[in-house]
Amino acid sequence: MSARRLPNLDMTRRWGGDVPIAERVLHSLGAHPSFAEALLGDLAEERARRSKEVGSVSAELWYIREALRAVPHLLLNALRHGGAPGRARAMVALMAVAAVPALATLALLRDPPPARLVVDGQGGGEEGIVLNSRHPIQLAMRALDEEGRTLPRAQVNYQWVGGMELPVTSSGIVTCTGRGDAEVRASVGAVQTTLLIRCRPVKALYTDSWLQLVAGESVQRLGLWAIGPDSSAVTLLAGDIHVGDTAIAALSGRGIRPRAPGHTVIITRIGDAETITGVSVYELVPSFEGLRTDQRFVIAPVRVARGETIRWPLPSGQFWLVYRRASETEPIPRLSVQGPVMCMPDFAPNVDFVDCLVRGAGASITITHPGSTSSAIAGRLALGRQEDR
Amino acid sequence: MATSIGTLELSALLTVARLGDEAYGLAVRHDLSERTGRDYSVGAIYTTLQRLEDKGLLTSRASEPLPVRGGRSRRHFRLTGAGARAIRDAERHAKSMWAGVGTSMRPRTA
Repeated sequence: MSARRLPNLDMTRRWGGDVPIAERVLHSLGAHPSFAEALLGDLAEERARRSKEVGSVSAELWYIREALRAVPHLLLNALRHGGAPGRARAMVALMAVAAVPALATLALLRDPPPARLVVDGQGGGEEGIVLNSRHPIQLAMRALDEEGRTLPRAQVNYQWVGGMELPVTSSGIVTCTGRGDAEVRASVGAVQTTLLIRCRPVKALYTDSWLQLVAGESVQRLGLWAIGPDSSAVTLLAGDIHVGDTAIAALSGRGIRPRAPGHTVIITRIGDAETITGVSVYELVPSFEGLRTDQRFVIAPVRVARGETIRWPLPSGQFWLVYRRASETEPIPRLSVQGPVMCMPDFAPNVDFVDCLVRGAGASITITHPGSTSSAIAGRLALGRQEDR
Repeated sequence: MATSIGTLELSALLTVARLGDEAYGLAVRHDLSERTGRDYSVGAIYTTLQRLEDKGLLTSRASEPLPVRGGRSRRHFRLTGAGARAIRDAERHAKSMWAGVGTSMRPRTA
């Protein structure tokens, strides 16, 4: 018998309600009837044998596995020997097989409908979105579904709707050319919200150049001044302040909390401007007497009465000395150094900061009441040792 | 010119020759799996047998419908003359290829 010859069994008639669905599916793949009948017959015969020998569950599992393994062979036979109808059925089956993962992928990729929009890291809320840059900025909004999950593929559209004229693209790129407030509508699907955009472009930014703090003492506010393109002060600011070594100092609101002796930097970024502030945190000591080599950043209280002089030893190596007055009205005492030490600039009246180099033992500093006032003067003398070279 | 056949096709031809009147898909699969230690799927066996039939190396006939097969027939295969020649050609080819190869490399005969 040729494989292309139809079998002598009428499958249509045999396909009653008792034909397993797996067989119907395998038959429907379009293979030549004699091929499909022989293959399915073998599957049925082997299943019956296994059911007797190893149990029906194991036999069914084997049948399912073999039925799945037979699918590509049935499709191949359909394409080669099934004639036009068989090939058509095979193509339909192949497309259906291909469609399953495609549809599953589409279902996975398809986002649920957005429920709300939130501003992503640019402030927002009643205060609005403060923009200090003079260059184009991408508004960052996220669409969330009802359960608060981000919809990463949701395309948010933007449109200027009121206030100061503000160039805004549909993708949300705005350029603050001047100072003012504008309203921009953000929408995704049926969800929309109106954003208050507060343009406060900053041309120049200034911060304290050097903060000198004492470990464990209170938070000190970071001095920060911003100037707009029109040279007026900008007070509405949004940006970030980064502390280099948070073991030494930490951010506390707009202030800096001194934590441990050392030196670090603070980087302040607002709009397109950036500044760097040095931060020295000192350990409070009673005087410079008996400093250990690991005490690199120390500060000692100074109180001298009229006619009084204090003398403290200086450690060897490179360091800076800073005299810090208790108040702006306090005079600065007369400071001088002795022994194998060189300081720049030279101590002179009203000089409160010098860099020194001590090249041996026996160097010292004297702090003398200036005589310009009859009362005692008070302050602190700080010493910051640089890294050993 | 000899018909070109692959390893599985040759194995199937030999199995059909060995099984004689009992050569139908399931029996061929059992025999092949036992001898090679490989788990051939029923589909793969039928595809191979079908290909050999297309090449004229096998013929097939349907048995009477059997209840154990859900009323389906077995499809019994038999070597054609061309199939027998293909086996002999394959053996000759194998001998020719083995000629001159050291005895330690030769396959053991039973």
